[in-house]
Amino acid sequence: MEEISKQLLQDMTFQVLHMERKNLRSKAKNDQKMSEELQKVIVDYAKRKCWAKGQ
Amino acid sequence: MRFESIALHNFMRYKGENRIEFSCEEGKNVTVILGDNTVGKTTVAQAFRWCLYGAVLTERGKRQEDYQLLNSDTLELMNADSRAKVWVELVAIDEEKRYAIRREIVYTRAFPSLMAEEFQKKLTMHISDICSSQPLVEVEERKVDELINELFPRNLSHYFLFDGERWSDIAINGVRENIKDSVHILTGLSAYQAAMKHLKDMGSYSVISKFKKKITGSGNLYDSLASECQKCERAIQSCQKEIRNIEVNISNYKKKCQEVQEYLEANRNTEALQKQYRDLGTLKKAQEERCASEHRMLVNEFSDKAYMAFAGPMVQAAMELVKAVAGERRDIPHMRQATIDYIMKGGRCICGAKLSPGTKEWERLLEQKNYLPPADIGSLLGEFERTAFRWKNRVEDFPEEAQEMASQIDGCVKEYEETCNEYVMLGQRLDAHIDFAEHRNRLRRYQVGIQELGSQKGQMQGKAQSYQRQKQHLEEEMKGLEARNEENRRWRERLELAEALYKKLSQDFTMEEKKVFKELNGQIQNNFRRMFNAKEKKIELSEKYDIQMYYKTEVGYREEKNLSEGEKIARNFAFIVTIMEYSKKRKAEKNAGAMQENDTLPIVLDSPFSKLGDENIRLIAKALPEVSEQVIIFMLKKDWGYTGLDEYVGKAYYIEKEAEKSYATIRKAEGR
Amino acid sequence: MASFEFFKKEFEFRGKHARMAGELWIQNDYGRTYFRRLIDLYITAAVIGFRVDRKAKADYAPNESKSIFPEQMIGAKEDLDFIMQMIMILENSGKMAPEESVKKAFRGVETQEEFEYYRDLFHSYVRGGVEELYERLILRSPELDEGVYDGKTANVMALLERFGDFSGVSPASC
Repeated sequence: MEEISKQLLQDMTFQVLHMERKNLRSKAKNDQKMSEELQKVIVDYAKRKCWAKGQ
Repeated sequence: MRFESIALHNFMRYKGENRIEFSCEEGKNVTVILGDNTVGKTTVAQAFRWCLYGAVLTERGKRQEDYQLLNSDTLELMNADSRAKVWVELVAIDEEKRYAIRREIVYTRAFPSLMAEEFQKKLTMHISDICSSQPLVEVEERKVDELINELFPRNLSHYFLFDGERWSDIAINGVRENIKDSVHILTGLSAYQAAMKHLKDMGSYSVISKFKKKITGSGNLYDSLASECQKCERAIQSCQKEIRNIEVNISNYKKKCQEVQEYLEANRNTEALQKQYRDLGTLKKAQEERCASEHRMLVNEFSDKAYMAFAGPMVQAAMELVKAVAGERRDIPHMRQATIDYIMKGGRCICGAKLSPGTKEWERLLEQKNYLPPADIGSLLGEFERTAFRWKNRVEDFPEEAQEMASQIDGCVKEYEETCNEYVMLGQRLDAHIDFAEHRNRLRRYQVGIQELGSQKGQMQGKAQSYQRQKQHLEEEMKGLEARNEENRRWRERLELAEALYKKLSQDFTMEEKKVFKELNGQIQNNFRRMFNAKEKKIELSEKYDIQMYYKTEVGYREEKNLSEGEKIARNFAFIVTIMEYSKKRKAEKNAGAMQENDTLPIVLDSPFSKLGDENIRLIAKALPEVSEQVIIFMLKKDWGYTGLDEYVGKAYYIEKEAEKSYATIRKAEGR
Repeated sequence: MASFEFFKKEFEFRGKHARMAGELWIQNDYGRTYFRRLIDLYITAAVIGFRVDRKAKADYAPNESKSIFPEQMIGAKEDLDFIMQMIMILENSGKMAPEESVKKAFRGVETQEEFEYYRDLFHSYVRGGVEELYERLILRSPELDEGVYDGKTANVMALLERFGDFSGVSPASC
């Protein structure tokens, strides 16, 4: 696999941490739900990566 | 995070509803609540704690159940069917949200006795957006405690709900606090831990686990590899569980070792101990006698005078009536009983009117006789007056004297109790017939135990590692057998992204944690030195964020384990100021685009300066409004001047208690 | 002048009042007792009972009774008579003209009926007062703002604050 860009990783980290913090302070979603949310985020970023590469 | 308001309803001595709104102004972020001793400041300060965590800080020797939360006046008015509510509502705000927390208990009365019984308990929390007008969201009941702990970490509660008088080394439910996790919550590091948990650590529902399952293979070989893989995963988890158990056991053994070692150290010299024991016995007896004597004085004073004081208003009322009657007396000066007898016997009054028994005139003359000796109640009235005055004078100084005696008793009782505790412990040590050999054997056994467990742990870790390797091999094989299709390629890509994210989070977390620790440790020493002018002492955070104090000796620094009250307070102040300062700084950094989002906490202080000297008070007081987002402080009127905090005060309140009333009220101060 | 005199005979606490009295007055134990002598409890209870207007009937539960002997009663007669006079003045003040109630109080009772009425009234207040003192000194729970550490003393001080008319006195700062 090609190297994952630093910027992409940075953005993902930021978004994930923001989501986690929001959930910690509201307890709206349980662990399973959070895992699902994170899965969606990663799938989304994976798409963006392809997009950026013009695929 | 700031507190917006607190409202109390029938909470302890606060009858009805009382409310305080806190200053949230920038630059004037201090709210001060002043009141004299025993008027009810601590009750309000404890209301914060009770609302958040359902418990108040208890005095030595007393338990939660001993404190009656329902206001007594309200209780007195209840009958067997009544219900009364006690509630406290706390509203806090951060940048985005408003949090309203309400804890309520409904009581009934065990009529006719003055005892309240809990009938129903309720804890609710509502969150709303500050900016939008969207309706309140009610948090699910079972999540409220967890959420409260996230916003106001309970293990930090002794710091941000600071009690200057009631401090003791804290054990909540017998377990020593774990401050580290709470500090992580405050610094935003807990988000990292949560992310890592959801990405991988939580096991089969984690992101990585889920992604792995999506990758399909072709054929039976692939499927059997996949199931082998799962077996490995389960084996790894069970090894890890085993390892955790072993670690707990090791830590228990270590604790026991430490206990035995300390014990041996402390008991080396029995002869000196015996003399100490005898001396302590003598002291104890003397103190016991002193206590008894102080008690006797108060009992005597109380027995002799209390009833005179209690009768006050009644005596007053009776005196008024007596005076009114005495004033209406219409006795004739120099008149004698004999004179009236003579007139009556003669059957004719001086004015000439005929006198016969039963007539109005006759009755009037008889009446007059009552105002003359020996039937003179005038003199009886006079005696009554004199007794009333005598009672009043006897109790003129009674309040102050009683107060003085109460202080004396307290002093004696505290001293005596401390001595008793020491005496008992010393006695136990002497009684133990210290068999050094036996203790040493035990120590050896523990140490052997630790070694064995250590090697067991090592074995388990080895096993886990070999399963891990096995799993990796299997996964490699599986990768090779993977269906070479678009679907799998995508999932493989996502999986790698997830793994990369996990790795980054893990590295960042470790790095951040170290950085935070280093900064906090450095800052806590600075603050301690600055606020307490400490030259021979220093404080330091252990790995677990325990705050340890060290004092200088010729051979370096030694840990001080027995801190005085003043030292404990200094240590804790330094800690909380450091944490507050750090949070505030981080928050400012965040606005400049840094990664972390973190929290700040308000600080609520109850008589924080009562055990400190003037110098310290000034130094600390100055730091507070600068480092915290919000300061709420309860203190004596007379101490306020020493703080120098006037310019920071946004709102001020007084707690007042009228002499005849048993309840207190909170009043807002106008202007300042 | 009256020929009926109060406070010359023995008084007995019985039933639950005897039990309560036994917790409020413990002979020779200044650490636990609230009163030096039983008669002190009697006097204070009378004042408190009257002040909060709390009367109580005699109780006959099978407890060991506690007695105040005639000698003790007579020793406190001066103060007790004063209290009785006060009760008579104030008790009647709504029902008859002030002059009447004052005269009655000072001339004393003139019939056996009246004597028994006031004697029983007084005892009723004593018992009610014992109940009130029991609730405030024995049953009372500690408060968070207690200025006093020792539980027993804290209850005494709370009682003094509630009934002691300490106007214009601020509690000493510890």
